Amino acid sequence: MEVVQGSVERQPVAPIAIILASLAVLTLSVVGGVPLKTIAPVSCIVVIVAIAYRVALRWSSLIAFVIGWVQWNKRKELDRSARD
Amino acid sequence: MDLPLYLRVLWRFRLLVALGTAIALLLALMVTVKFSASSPHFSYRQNQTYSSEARVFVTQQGFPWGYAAPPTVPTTPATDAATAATAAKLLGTKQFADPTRFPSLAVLYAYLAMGDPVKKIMLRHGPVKGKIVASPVISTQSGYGTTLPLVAISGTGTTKRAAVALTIRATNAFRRFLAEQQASNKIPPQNRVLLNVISKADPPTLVKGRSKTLPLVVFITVILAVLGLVFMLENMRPRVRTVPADDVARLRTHEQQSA
Repeated sequence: MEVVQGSVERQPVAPIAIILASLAVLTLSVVGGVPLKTIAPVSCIVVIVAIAYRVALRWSSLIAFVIGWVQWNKRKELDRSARD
Repeated sequence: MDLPLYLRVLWRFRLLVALGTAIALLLALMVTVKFSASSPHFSYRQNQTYSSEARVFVTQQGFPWGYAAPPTVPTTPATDAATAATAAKLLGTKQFADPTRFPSLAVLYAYLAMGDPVKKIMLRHGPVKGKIVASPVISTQSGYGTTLPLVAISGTGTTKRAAVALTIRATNAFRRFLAEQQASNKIPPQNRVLLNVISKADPPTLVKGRSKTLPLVVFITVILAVLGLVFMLENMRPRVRTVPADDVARLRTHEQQSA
């Protein structure tokens, strides 16, 4: 007989709750006629992160996200200055 | 990627997947269409934008553009009496401005047409719904831009009729503004700039349709959420797979041999 180190897989309760909450917010916004230009993309991002949080919250993914965000803002700034 | 496994999971939660797809479609539809108890029961949430354009000719009385060499008003005083007499004879009752003045007036008038005084005149006949843009007409056929003595006035609206109506209103308001200014400043009729409408309102064109991005984002969000839920539920309560009898026998044999 030998002791094997093991761990119990945690139940993904929090992601399920986040997904359901995002769906509820989205549905209420659509039914209530609230402008969706902000709510819909934010809900989409929240759902994607909740589904793939193990990949999305890795340090490498977070660094890639920060670099992407900085580049996008820089390009936006350049576009604005070119327009002005 | 184990596609048969994914399909088995989806099939296991087929009711949830079907319900989620129906909700996704319904929400995407509701983002596009507005339902109402009163008539009309269905209407689009987003409006389309149509644009129509009118063109106004900046000219003066007597159609100076018909002259091969129009007798223009001298810009410098005549040097001698003979030249002055010749100029006076030529001018007679007709006095034409330098033709190059009209294109520069067109540039100025384009700004005036979008100004507040013109908007005030328009507001006399009701609210202004839509945008008005005026610009001088520039010909690029010669390879480089040449400003013509024409002003293009365009109006936008949510329907074709509204775009045409706004264009005509803006054109009329600008012509009225100029006429009022000329009258109040007592400019003689023969010296007035005329705005002849050469194109009342072009057939309206669609400049901005209804965006399909938002319904698509909503649909994808709901579908992603449903698929995520399905796989999370599968992970929480994995189904015990039935093992074929041959595999069980093979495993037993393997165990006996290893023992």
